Amino acid sequence: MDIIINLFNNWTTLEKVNTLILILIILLVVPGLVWIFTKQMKLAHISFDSLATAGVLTLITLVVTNLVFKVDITYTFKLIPFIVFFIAILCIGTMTGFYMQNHKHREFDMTKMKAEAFNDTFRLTISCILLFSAFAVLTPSILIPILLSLGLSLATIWLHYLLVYKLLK
Amino acid sequence: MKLPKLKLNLNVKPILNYILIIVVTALFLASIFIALPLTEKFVSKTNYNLNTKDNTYWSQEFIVSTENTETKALNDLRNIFYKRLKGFGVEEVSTYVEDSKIRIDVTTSKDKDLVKELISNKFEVKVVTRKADVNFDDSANTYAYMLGTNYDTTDWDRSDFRNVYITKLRTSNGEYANFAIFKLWPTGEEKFRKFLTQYNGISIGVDIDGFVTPYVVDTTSQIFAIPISSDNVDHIKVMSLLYNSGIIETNYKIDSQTDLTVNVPTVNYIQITLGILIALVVLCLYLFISKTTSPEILLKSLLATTLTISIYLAFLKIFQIPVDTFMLSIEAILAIIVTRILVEGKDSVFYIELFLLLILGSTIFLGNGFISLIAQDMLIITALAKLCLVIAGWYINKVKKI
Repeated sequence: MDIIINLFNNWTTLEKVNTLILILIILLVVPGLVWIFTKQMKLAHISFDSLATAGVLTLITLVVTNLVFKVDITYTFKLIPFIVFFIAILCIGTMTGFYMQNHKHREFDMTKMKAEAFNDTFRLTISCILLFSAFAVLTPSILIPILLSLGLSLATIWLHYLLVYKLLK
Repeated sequence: MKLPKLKLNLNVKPILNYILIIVVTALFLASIFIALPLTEKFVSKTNYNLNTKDNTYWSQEFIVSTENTETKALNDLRNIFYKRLKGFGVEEVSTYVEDSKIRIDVTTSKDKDLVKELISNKFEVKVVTRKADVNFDDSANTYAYMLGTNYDTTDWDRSDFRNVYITKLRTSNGEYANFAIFKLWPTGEEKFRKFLTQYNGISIGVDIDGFVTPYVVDTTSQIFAIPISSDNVDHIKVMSLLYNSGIIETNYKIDSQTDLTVNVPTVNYIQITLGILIALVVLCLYLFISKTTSPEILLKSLLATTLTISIYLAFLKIFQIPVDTFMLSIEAILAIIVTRILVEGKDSVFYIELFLLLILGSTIFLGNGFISLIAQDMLIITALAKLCLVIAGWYINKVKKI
């Protein structure tokens, strides 16, 4: 908990306000746009849950890394939330795009959506594992942040799929 | 004797297409060669070195003590320091309140003196008028016009102006120089004009931290602007930030300045290039063997990704833009992923781009430190990836037709 309290105390009011606005934009505006485009509350719900869980998971991982593994959270670690949200946005964008393209087709149903989500998740998983691993091996100075980014990205991708699978009926 | 007529049945279009394809291929190859490491070993005429920030980083701790040690005053001052340093592009800034003093930790590749200028200057701006009993033409004291003590204060200070805008204006001798234009709040315009009318043709001044820049009042002029002696772009930026980052109410001074260990990781550029190549080849091989992607899409994706990364790196090298090597590797990973997704999910392109634009744009303005920097780079890379996808599609079609 100290890491969060320290971080909060070390920020200026301006930084706190800016970060709060940024979090609100990520958590509310993106799901809001999904709802505006699709008119499907469930898809907006999935988007919000994906982003919120990605954020919470990243925070917990950084705290655990610092407290349990005694790893200093340096500047490089600050890029991890960015990478995780970037990947989450790709998942949400792909889901929204598929729905918008296909929802007017007569044979469209949510099982197709789930199947497509699985394909996308699988392909993104392979891409992430191959790319992050190659860089992790070759750039040892940023090994831990790269590995954490990989783990969190995979967790985000599969959590998104899990949400699609469970919430879409 | 009549010469036989030569009938050339030439179709110009395919020839032009050939030439176009050759030129575009040459441009592709050129960008790839420039992007590759060690190009500078073979090309002596131009510098194709990657301009890395790695060795330019420095880190320092500043301890600032203030006259007013109330929490609000300290927090207000921290906000102003943060605004100034972030505005200047300082990579990492942390401010703390410790024992009623402010500690500022700075890690940056920016000019040390300019960063110190942003921290050490209170930049208290006041409009002043000449004291009647001071001889400003005294040849024994040629600097009399510069000293704030030789002037009387007026009711006008920085808070009466909504903003100070620095721009180039034509001087009386026809040349251009930088001026700080003081823009008034609409409610104060009439009052300020009346104030200036009293001093028409007389020299008054703008006092900044005790040093005065004279200003000869001309009521026919529509603007209130004082000259700035520097032409250096970074210095002008610092001046603009000092004018516009907020008003510091309390007096303060820097008590100490201590060097800190720089903790920014560096990555070998050759390793990054090798990483990109291996990752791309392995990814494409996997997708080809597993048949999860059609060969056409795979080819387009490979070409677009190679182009995106090589054009971006070539751009950085040609324009000598300073880069953080550790961020380059993360940007390369994200660039490959985003390009692949844009190729595969044609139906999702609009939504992915819109969401990314929103998130990256917000992060640039609201994020801090390296997060803001990587968001800026990724916005450029995503736009470049989109452009390269169009070019790759067009190029593959043209080559197929030959």
